[in-house]
Amino acid sequence: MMTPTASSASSVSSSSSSSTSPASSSLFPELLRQRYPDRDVLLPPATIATPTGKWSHKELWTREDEDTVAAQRAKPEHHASFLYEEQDGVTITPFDKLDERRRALVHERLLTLLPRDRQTAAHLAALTGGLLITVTANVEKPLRIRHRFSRGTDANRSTIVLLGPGTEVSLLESFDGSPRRASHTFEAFVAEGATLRYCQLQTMNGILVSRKAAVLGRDATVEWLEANAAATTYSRTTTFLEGEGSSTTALGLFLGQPGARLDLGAEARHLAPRTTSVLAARGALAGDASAIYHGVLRIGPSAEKSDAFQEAGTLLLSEEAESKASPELLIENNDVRCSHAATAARLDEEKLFYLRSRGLSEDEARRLLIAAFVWPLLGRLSGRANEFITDVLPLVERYAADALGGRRTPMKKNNKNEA
Amino acid sequence: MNALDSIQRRDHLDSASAVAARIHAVPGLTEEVVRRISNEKEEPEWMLAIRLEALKAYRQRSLPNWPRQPDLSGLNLDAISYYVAPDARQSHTWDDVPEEIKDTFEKLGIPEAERTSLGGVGAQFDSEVVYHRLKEEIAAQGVIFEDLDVAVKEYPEIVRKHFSKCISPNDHTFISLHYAVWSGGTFIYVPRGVSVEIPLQAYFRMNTRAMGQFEHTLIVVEEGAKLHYIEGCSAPRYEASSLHAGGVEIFVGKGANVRYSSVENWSKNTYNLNTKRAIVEEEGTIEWVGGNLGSRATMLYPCSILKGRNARANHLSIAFAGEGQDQDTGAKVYHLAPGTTSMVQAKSISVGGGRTNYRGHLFIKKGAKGAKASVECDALLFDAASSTDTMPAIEVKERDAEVAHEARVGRISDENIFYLRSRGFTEKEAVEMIVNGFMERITKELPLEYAVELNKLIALEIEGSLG
Repeated sequence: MMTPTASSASSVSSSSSSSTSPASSSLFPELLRQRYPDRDVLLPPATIATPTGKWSHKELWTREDEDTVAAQRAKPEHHASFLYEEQDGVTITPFDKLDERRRALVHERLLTLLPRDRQTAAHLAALTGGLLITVTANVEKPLRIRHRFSRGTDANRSTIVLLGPGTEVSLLESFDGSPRRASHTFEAFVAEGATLRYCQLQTMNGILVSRKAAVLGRDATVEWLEANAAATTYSRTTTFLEGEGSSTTALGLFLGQPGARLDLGAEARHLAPRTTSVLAARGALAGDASAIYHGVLRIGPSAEKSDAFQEAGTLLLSEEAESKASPELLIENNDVRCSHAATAARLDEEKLFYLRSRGLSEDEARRLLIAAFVWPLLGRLSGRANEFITDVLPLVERYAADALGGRRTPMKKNNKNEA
Repeated sequence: MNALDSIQRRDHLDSASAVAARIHAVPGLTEEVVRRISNEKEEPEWMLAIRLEALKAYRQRSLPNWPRQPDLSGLNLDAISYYVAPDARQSHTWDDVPEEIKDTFEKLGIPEAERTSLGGVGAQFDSEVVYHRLKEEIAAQGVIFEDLDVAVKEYPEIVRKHFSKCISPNDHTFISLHYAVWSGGTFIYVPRGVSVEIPLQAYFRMNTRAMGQFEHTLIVVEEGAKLHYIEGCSAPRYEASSLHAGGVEIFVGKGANVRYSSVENWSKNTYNLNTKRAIVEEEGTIEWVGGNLGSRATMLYPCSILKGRNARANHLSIAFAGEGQDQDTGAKVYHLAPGTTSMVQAKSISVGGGRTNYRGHLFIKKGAKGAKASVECDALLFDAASSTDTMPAIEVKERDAEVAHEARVGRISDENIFYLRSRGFTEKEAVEMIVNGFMERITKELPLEYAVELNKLIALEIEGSLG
């Protein structure tokens, strides 16, 4: 279905130049020097601080991962690491093929929407590849970009999307394979009246750090859908509602497999009047999966007549699964509507019993209930964003089947106890 | 003017009375101060040991550093007097209480409260309880309602068995400080099966400039017993900032029922950094009903540890922040056993640049099967200068548990005001009615005089803020 624009993945390793000094492995060494002259004073990435301590998965943050080792292991990647199909109204340029003008564009925008912390500096220091995407018209078909990773490597990639006024695009990025650690940043600059629909599919093994941000002009819209079935993930999605009347929907679907450590978050910053946001996360946790969710609605003093809603729901599928959630509201304007809700529950035994009484096997019934739990999340997608559903559904189905496979035995034991 | 009316007047609450203090500790905290407090109180060795241990812990700690926490930079811990005893001996009848102190209590409406059949009145004037009485029939049931300083000497076994066993002196900075210098407070013991039908009440008041108040409340309610305890707190206004770092420990026995109500109305330069915690045994119930409206900054998160099967916790609270105030309040609930249930309802009002925050932690331990928890936060914002945050933290480690959290933020809608005005109410009345309606869920759980006090105080504050 997808036609690679470049040669196959095998060329990646052969074309990569080897370098030993951390600074020279960066794609933009001069940018690194200019932005982070003193990297040692930078703060580590923010974690959730609760009255009883900090919440974080230690697997994700070791100083080693952030910095030295990542910088030494990372090698510039060939544009063949990205698979996509060219379309009218959009130009995609891999970072290793930037001309002077585009290089200046990247210099001006890269990592400007992300926190200036140690992680961002380390990402830039060991940046291995990326894409500059400029949208100049309404793009008809969804643009699908597949990120390929060689086994056991470290990759730091960035995607920058520039949407011109009134343009529209559906963009899907998928991450699979088994790198040791991948750090990805996504930044979208959405001009007046433009619409971005962005879907990210995360199914890779290894550690994934994904930080996404968008800044919106007047009446612009961003719809985010992140479907996460990766093993160990740190993910943050931040939307800066800077233009009056701009809006965002950020949907997070997480499917935690046994062993998964998920640290997920979404934030909407209302910085202008009449801005709207919906943050919703739903997911299931199987085996000893553990998820942390940090949702933040921040309404600034100038965001009058804004409307914000946040929802988080978790389905615990096993005795060992753990869920932590902190849905926050930070409100500095009184002329707003703002609410949030969070729930955690297990599969409803009554519904299960009902489905079984209608002739479904236990596995079928459970699979149906898992799908039914995440479905309302996808229901929040607007008309055209529904085109992503065909990409996401197989993920849910495969997960439901796997999740049951992994825990069939303890479940039966548990049922006996309850009977 | 009756006492109830007078209580609502801020100038009464904010004026200091002229009682000569008997001992006034040198500002700043040293081991000598701690030993002096203990010596003055003729305490047993074990209590001094707890104090010194806590002092050691306090010295090793730093101030909390949480995201969006209240600004504590105006709090000068070295300038606080850690112990002040008013020049009065422990009294058991109203006539024995010195005139100035009586006058202060008249203003606060305490005799009025007693007349309206409150069970006993223990009032803490600065650091020592000077007036204390309990109706005879309750004492006859074996109920103890005492100043904790007295209880340490008169009921040493039971106090020693429970003191510092619910909140560890090592828990956090301000509780370490509290244990080092605690003074006064209430001790209540309700024996097995005894139901105290009328609420017991104490009023705490800070009266000396730049002092710290560190009262300790210890409540032990045995199996199947029942208690409703009410605390009111205030402080007159001085230029130097004061500190209140109290500690409340409640032991709820098997099947017992405890309701703890408090209205905290410290003066607006007080830092209220308070710790309240209950341990609830099987089938027991703890209910926290609280209003926080005074103080410059409050950091208070009553905590319920649901230790026994089917234990229950209800948290109802209202926080009010006017100009220059930061009310950082919330609830912590730990579900440690199967069948435990909890409900948190937190409401807040921000006016004239005030800030409120709900900061919570809800924890469900693995194995707490069938646990149910709900948290509901409602915030009312009056104007563009005010702000409100909601920062709940929900941690679930048990699959067979139900957790729900909801929060809403809004302002008083113009339509509602318009409607009420069209029915002949003034704008001020309309606002008051809407605010009272907003708070009703909480105020209806308070004894009448406290509900009236809270409503009137908030109406006054809002009136002041709206000019």
